[in-house]
Amino acid sequence: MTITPSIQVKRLSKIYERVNKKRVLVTRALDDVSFTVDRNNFVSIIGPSGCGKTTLLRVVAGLVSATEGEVLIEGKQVNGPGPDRAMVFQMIGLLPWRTVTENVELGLELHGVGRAQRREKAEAQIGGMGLAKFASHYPWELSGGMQQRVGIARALVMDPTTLLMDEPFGALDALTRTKLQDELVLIWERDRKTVLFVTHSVDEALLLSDRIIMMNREGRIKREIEVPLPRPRVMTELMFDRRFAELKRSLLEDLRDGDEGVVECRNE
Amino acid sequence: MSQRVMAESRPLKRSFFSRELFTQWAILAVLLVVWELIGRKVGTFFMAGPSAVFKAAGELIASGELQSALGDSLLGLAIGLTAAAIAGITIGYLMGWFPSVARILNPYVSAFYVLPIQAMIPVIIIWLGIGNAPRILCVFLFSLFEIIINTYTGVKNVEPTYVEVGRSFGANQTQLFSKVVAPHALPFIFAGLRIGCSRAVKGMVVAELMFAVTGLGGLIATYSAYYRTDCVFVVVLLLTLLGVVLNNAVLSLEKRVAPWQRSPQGGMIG
Repeated sequence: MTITPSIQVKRLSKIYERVNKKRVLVTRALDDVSFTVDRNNFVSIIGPSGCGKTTLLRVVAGLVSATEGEVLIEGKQVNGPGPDRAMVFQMIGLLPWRTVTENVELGLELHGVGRAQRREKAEAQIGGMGLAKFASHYPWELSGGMQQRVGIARALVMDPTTLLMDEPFGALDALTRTKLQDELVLIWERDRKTVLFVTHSVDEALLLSDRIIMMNREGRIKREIEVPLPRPRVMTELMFDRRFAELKRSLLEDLRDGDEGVVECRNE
Repeated sequence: MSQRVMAESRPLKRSFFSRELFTQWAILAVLLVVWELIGRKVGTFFMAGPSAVFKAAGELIASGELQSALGDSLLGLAIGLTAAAIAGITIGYLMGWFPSVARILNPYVSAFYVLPIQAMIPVIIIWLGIGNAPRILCVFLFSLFEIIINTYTGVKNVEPTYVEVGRSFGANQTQLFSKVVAPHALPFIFAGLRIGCSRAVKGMVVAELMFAVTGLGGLIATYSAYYRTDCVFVVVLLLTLLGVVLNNAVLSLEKRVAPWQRSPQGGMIG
């Protein structure tokens, strides 16, 4: 008997139509995308900006519907957002009128969990992320790195099977980014989640993933690779690893291949 | 990190001898002196100086005139402003939440917003006489549209990321409104209330000036007819004070209801 994969994406297409000066502009964001993610696997999606990787994540999250095809989570078809998937956003999106604790409680509150119970869960999660001292602070009082830790805590407190992360470290400085990458790996190893991670950084994808899915500008999957590097991985050591360097070069070449947009992609 | 937070939440130090505060008070002193000098030169008939105004205030309070006029005005102001706040916030939320309501009401709101309501006062007097009702209506009309437009703006311009966050964590439409859109609009609503308050005071005075009988505006009309500029200035200063007090009351209410905002650094009356 085969185990059902955690995420099944089947022949997914997404077409956006936009009316501009009486003309309908059609954008094909996803074109016949299919892949699966096994339970507890960490899979990254990379590609140039505007290649539909965020759209793909939003379809899996149930925030937008697909034009064609379907997404199954643990064998069940996605028809909208659900507590089995929790999302971490590039813009972080902490609600400014809520304290750290109240932000972490959001999902539980929306699903009708009682005050005492959700507070207990939120506080445990906040403590686990080393944020206990800031529990009653408002988001603007925290640094970007702290804010995204809260963003991750807000997702983890739902105890989802699948974590959807949309360039979660894209807006952070390099130092904070490295720290949070390490923390994410620890969390992933501890909590055993299936992670779908969107990034435009080849380094980040190689550091974190079991598998990398590369998309091209046409919204199609261009290449899929397994990352054979042994864990635990540390960036400062990977940098001097020959296999890492070869994988990185091959991925960068593929990204650049027939795609002049790669310069823009790296400056994003 | 924690140090940075501490530094941000430290209260702003402002000693009495700080340069800004000194300059602020110095300007006030210069204004008073210049005003007094001009007042003495041209006489109370044209322009009463601060000392004459101070004396007139004593007289008006002793006779009880000022208190009863203030009472009249405040009653109208309170009722009109409360009604405008309730109606304005409700209509603003409806327009922001339901695009069709916004499309239907927008032309009317815009038209009323640019309409000089002063021009309507004579007609309002014809309809409602010169009691409390026309005053309440004026206060209401002067402040309503500012509150509607600000509330509407706050709801309409809700950060798309916040809506996305709400939806992805399972919010239904009702929750999206109560947990995301409504709180997001609060600071906008308070901005609308502050502007609405100052417009309400203006509406009240303009109406009373036209009735020329009751309230603070009535006092101005009466005493200017007798060329008692000292008494007129007393009322004008009281109206200014009223505006400031109202503004600060809304500000402190905002701090209680919407405490997440960075506190603005106020001036002498802020």
